[in-house]
Amino acid sequence: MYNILICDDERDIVSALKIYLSAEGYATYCAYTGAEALDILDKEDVHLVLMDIMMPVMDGISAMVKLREKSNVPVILLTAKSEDTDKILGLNTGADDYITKPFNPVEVLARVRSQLRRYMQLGGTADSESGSSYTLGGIELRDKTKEVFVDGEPISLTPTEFEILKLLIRHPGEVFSPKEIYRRVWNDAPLGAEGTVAVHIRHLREKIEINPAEPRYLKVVWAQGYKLENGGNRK
Amino acid sequence: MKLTNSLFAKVTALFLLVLTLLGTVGATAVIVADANLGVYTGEYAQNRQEILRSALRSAADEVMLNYANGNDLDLLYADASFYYTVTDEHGEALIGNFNGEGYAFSESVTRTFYWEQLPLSYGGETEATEAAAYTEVTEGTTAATAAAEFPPQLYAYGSEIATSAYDETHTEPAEITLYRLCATLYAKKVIPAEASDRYALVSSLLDMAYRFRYSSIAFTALGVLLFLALLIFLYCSAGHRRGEDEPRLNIIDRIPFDLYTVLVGGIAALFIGLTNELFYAFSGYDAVRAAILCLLGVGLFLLFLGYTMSFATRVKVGGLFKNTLIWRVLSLFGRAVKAIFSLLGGIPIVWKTALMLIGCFALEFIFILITWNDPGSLLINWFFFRVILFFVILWAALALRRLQKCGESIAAGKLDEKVDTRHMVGDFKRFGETLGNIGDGLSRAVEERTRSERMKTELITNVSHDIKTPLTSIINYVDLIKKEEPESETMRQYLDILDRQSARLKKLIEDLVEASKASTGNLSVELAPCEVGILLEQTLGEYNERLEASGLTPVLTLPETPVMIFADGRRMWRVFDNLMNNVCKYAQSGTRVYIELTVLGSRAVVTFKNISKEPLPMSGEELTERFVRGDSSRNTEGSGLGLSIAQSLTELQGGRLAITTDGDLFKAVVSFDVYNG
Repeated sequence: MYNILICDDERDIVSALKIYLSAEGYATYCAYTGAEALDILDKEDVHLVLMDIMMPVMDGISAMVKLREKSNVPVILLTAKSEDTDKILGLNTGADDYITKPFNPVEVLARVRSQLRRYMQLGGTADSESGSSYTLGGIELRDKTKEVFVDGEPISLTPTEFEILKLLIRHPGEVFSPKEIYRRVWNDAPLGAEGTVAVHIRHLREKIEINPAEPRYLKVVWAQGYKLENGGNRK
Repeated sequence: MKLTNSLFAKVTALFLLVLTLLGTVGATAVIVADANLGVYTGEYAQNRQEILRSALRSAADEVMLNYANGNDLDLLYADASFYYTVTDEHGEALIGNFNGEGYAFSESVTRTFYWEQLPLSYGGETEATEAAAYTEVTEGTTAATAAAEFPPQLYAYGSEIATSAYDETHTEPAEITLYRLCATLYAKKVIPAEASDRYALVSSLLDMAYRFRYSSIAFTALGVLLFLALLIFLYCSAGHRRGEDEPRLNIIDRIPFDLYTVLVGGIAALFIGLTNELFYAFSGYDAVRAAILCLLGVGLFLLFLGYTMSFATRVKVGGLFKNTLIWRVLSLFGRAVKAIFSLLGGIPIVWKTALMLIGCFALEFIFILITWNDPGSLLINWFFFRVILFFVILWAALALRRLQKCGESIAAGKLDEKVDTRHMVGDFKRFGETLGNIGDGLSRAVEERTRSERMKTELITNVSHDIKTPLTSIINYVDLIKKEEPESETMRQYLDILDRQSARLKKLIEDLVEASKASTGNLSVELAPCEVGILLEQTLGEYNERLEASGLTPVLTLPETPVMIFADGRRMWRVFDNLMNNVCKYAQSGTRVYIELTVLGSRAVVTFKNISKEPLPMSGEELTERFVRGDSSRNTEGSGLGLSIAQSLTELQGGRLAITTDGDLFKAVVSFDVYNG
């Protein structure tokens, strides 16, 4: 049983989120300004915060900065601002994830689950590599058993997808061009067949990402290639 | 009440000022005299003795003169400060009251006198027989110590004077008798109180000067200070009146300053002239002369004071230079010149040029007429006019060139270009300034437009944020209703519609913001080398499922060597994303979609070709207009902004997007310059 703090100046949105989260079995606290949220955080034991950015009295970014001074609790920002700069600002000031309005309730629940699992069960593991097992953010790849876990949940991948993921997770942050991926995964010269790489990557993304349109891990570097990095986590 | 505004105070100050001036001048005179006497340098005793001796010699002269004129010496010098004896040239005592008593010192003076017997013919006057005595006043003869050397010269000298005097005044020779007298004076040790002779006077003056040797300095210093204080007070009070705060000009102050200066100078000159006349008229009356000098001094000082006070008032009120005849004449002249120029400026340029040319020709013609018979001057005249004309035309051409350059710059888009009109005149200057104003107006208009575009974008962005919040609630609650197990199938259908439409609204808002930003350039673009082939593969990879769902087969053709362009990868993805989205929505199911990358010359060209499922009623250009779509597809998904966004983004990165339609063939061509490192 986890306690989740919902903070948004729009009461209807708070109520809706409360219904969804309660249905999933979470206990919720509601706040309508940044200051109220900080009050509740002081008094109650909260495991995750869903916070709007644009709020009266104290905005979400300021509240989060205050919160980060004493707490390590996961924060997911909810906001109508969808510009890249806003996202970067939010993630740089201590947010763990970022959802733009209007959001899909299913996506919110998935992200909440993911953050909670990693925060409570995995203890916010750092990126590590041990033997034949590779971890990046919430992704864990076990080479021996050919298993892949995302936020602790097993997912099934085709052998090609597994090999692509293994290549990328062994070189986090490195950009691989489709040709390079083809050569390394298929062990063959990429004679015009590298177009298939893009399709495999897309499938892989749909399996490991909550929202494939806004990937947290498997990112497209347009006109260059693909990379795997832990973008949704604070450093 | 302020003291400077009181007339009484001013008059008192004036009175005191004159008194102070006189007193100070007197005291200064004493100081000068003391200085000359050596009072301050310790040579007083010696100087005093010399002066007293000189005074005694003068007294001796006087004694002899009186004797020669037959005056009663006993009576005259009874109370004198000296004893005297007068002897003739042989040392025979003639008269004297010295009887060997004690004396301070003695002086002897030898003098030659001549008695002149005027002839009877001169004026026939009865006085002709009277004896007229002349003293001879050469310095040399008064030196008593050198008297022994003189006798022979004295005779000669005396007769010379007599002859010249005789030549000037008389037509006939007169009979002249020469006489030599010697007077010896013995200064008394104690000068009697009633003595009024020259020696006594000099002695008492010397004593007085000595007595006041220090007090006169103090008095002078005090006098100068007081004088300056009073003068400053008067200058400060000049122009102020009772009951008024600001200084005001009186009648005299209104006289033009230069005229006033001349007037004051004239009056001063008149004063001096008059004094000069009076001085001569009263020759011999030293007291009157001194009084006249005093009056002159005071008068000149008052004149000077009045002049400077008026000056002070003028300076305080202002307009010192404007209230002069010279200024008035100059300003009148300036106005006249200005009027002529403004008259000239009013004439249209063609007429002006014609007038100037006609004037020039007329002048030349007159010169030719004058120098007609002298080929040399004619040639010089011709040359002179050509040189002037050469420089004038060259100057005009230079001005024109500058104007031309500025005009070209403005036309080329450098709106802040300005003409340097400092060295231009008349119409050139006016035109230069007009050009500058055109530039200013244009850049203002451009700035205005940029700002309004930016404001529009900001408005759209802000409004979209505000729309997104209620939209979030709608989406969430629709979803919640769906979870509540709808009672009927119809309700489920309605909910689906709500779901779809709210999703569409969401997409529409996002597109709107993006379109607005892209079209106004309010979007950061990070240009870098991009490999177009990879980008196309990635795009097709992303669209794999959707193409399959729409029953479309993509055909990608890439050249063998990689093609690089200079663009922003993420923005390029948005361009291809929009184009592919368009393809998926409008292409006829079961057809192929051709995507081709070629290099044409220096351009990298990406062509998207597909068969439209609906007839294309519009031209390519109309299709990229915002919100324009084929009518029949009005109620399908999407905002209709896709092509417009794609075009704006392409142009933002320096590329071109052309849409062409040919029957059912829809063709989108994106072209960029090939990047060669």
